Amino acid sequence: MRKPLILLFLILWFPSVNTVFAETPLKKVSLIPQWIPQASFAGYIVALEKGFYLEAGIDLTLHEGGPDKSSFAQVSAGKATFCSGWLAYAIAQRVSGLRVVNLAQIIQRSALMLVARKSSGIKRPKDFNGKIVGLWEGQWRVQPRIFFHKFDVKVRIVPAYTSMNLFLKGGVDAITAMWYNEYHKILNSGLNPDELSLFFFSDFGLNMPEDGLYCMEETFKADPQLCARFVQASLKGWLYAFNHEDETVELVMKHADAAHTGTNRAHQRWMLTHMKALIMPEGDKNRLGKLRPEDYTHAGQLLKESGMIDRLPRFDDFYVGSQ
Amino acid sequence: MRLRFSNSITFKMTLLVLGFTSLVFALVLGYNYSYSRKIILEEAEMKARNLTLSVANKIEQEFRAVTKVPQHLVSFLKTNDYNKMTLNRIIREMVADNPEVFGSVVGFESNAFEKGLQSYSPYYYRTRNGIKYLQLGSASYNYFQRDWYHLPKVLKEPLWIEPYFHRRGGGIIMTTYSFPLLERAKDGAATKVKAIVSADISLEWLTWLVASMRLGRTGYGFIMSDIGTIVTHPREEWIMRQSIFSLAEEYGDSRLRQIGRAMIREESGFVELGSTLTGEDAFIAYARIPSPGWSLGAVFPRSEIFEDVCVLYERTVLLAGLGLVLLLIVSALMARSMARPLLQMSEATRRVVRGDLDIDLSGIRRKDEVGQLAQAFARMVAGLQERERMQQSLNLAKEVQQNLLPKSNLKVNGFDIAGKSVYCDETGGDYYDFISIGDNDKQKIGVAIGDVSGHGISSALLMATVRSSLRQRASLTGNIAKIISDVNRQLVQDVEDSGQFMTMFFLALDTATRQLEWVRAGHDPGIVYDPGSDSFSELGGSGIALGVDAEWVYEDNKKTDFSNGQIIFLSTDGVWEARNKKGEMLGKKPILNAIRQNSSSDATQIIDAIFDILNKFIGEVKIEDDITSVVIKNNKFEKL
Repeated sequence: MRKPLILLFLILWFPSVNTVFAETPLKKVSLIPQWIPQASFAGYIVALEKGFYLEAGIDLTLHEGGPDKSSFAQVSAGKATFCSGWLAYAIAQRVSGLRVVNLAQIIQRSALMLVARKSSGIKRPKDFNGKIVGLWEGQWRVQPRIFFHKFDVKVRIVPAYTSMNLFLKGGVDAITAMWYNEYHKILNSGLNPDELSLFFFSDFGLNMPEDGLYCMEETFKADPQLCARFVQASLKGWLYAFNHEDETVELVMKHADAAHTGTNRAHQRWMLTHMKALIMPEGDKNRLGKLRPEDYTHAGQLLKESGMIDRLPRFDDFYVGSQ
Repeated sequence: MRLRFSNSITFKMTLLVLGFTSLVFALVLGYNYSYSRKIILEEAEMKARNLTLSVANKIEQEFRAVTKVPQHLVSFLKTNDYNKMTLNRIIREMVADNPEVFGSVVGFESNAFEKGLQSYSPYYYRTRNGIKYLQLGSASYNYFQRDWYHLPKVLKEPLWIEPYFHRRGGGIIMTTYSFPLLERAKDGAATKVKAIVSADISLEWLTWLVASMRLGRTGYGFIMSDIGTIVTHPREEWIMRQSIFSLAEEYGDSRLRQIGRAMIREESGFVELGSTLTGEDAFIAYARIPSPGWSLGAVFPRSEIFEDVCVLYERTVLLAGLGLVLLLIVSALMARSMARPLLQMSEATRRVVRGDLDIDLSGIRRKDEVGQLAQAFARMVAGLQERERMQQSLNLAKEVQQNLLPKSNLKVNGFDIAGKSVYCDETGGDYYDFISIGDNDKQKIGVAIGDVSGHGISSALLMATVRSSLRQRASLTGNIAKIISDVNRQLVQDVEDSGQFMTMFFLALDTATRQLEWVRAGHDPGIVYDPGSDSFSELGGSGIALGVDAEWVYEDNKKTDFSNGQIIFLSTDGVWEARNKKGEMLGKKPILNAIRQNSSSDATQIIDAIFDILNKFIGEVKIEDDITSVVIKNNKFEKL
């Protein structure tokens, strides 16, 4: 008769202990990724599902991103606290007056590439001359433009959108793709690697970091601890994801299916393994989440060269993450 | 030697028959099975190819029919003037007149329909409540960036668009055929795209058509697009999400990837699929649908193709097994029925060996070789029984004849007479006798020794006749020549035409006067040894054998001095004609030597010595002729 009573007492007592010891209630924030739920956001999905944000005192809502929403626009409109987005785009936004700050640099290297069919005669950069190339619009044209200029080739540029069918149906000889995403889609449309010529911009001196975590400067200034904790939990999520591939793929699929993205495990697995190489090059944990000044400067140079910006904001104004 | 079961006919025959039959069964069934499988597979391939080609053809017809819609619309727009109203009407008509078309749109380039109009895209589509209209382009739908618009614009050619869900994440699967409306540029140089005309078709009919393909129990059809995307498949979770290539990647099946590539590139084919798509090894027949470049695959598990033949062969093997069991039983029974009489005969033989000739094999009533053997065996045993009887008779005859010979040697008045006879058969033709002659005064003793021609029972009978004839005649008066002549006459009558005869040496000894008389009837002369002078002499004389000539008159011979120590030796020719194993004859010399060496012994001992030498000489060889000898020794010492 005594044991169950003690148990009951403990059960009733425990939550109150928690609330007594908890200093502050959970902070409600939200994160908007720049695209649909996929493994390139695995770190945040994992951190959410495994409770890393909760442990850090954060009640995070993970919004559904997509092609019709600009993640920076959502943040600037106050519809989301944090967003994930491209470095080049963020710098351009900052220059044009949007006061965003970089909390952490996630993808350290450029994953942007040009994929061409060998059968269209493109094997080396010079072979692009006179060819038709499909390019994504906006910040994705920075590297290709410089690339074509560098090799002094004249190409006919056609806009490319979300699907690779323009390339697959033979509308263009080459197309921009992300190494961790569209390239794999091309492979799983039946083309073998030995039938393709690949051009990684990072191989041609056009390397620059890509995905990072951002918020409005005021948001950061109001609660830097919160932002730091948010970044910590997110990075913890990424590390967990790299060490628990199968589990992570399942969690990502759960989110992708909820958003009806129509993806499959093979694709997400590819994406996750390539994310690891981009986020932690050579497995170097020390660089995880950090934006290096030299990378920032180099990115700025490319942006200036392509005419996207006329000046580069100060590093310390832009980057508020750990050094 | 006991018969071990493993050595028996039953076991061996059964094993052999069973073994060979099993082998033959196995070979025949095995060949049959593998050949059947080959034929079945070929048939299955043919059926599958035909099925996929015919269904693909049906699908192709449907697709072709749809292409006409935008095509006609484009022709119209090229050749006619139109405004918003007429354009709307014609689009609406197109949709109304073509039930397979779900909706149709004409999307214009910016400013192409009207100057200042950035976008214009009238769209008519079916609903439950009839055909509805809307402007496809909107704030949330930028049609310029959609594949159905963008691709034909860049390619400047009509094409089928990759299938998609009607509603986000679900609903009906659709595909679109887009036809660009081109116009010559004002400067007459390049052609420009003015608008894109599209027709959307629902693929429900496609799903239904493919699902209704009859492919055995677990076989199914599926469709994939020209980039491998699964368009229809029994596994709904794969539709539009997986491509044949992503499946190959997820399941680590590189062969599947190659098959996917082949399906996109080739017109048709039939290959082994592996187990990724169905969970068990399967085959796939595929055919291309030329218009959209899609591919129809028909998958059917390997086990199903061979199901019937497997069942057939299971049954056949079962039957064969039963047959073998029956064969085993029948074969064992047959072998046993053959072996049993043999065993019976074997057992009978054992009894015959023991001497029990009373056996009954009448239980063996077979007509075959074994029956023949049993009959022969029975005849043999009967023969043995007969022989046994004959042997008994012979033994009796032997007894009788032995009783006819002198039972003991004589010692009369200082004369030692000993005789011995050995027959080569049970009965023989040799004989010797000691007879009292004349009037019973025991002083005159007749010693006869004779040899009937041949040997065996006929000679024995003759010997008995002559013996009794001689005895009878000798007891009457008359000299020995007369006696012998009378005996001869009688004998001639007895032997008639049989050709038998008997040689005889008849000697009469007067023990008082030591006078010898003898008649030699064709027999070897008697031999006399005188130890005093160590010399041999003969008791000769003439006379033919008895039983030849009834009128022959025999002569008698006389010798007056049969002195002390002298030895008379009478014998049949069997003695010196005895052969040893080398085939050499004994000859007279060893006999004479024996007489010489044993001259001081009595007659019995001399006879024994002679027979001793004889036996030693002959050894183990069977004697061919009767051997008879008589020794008469004068042991009387004369008082000087």
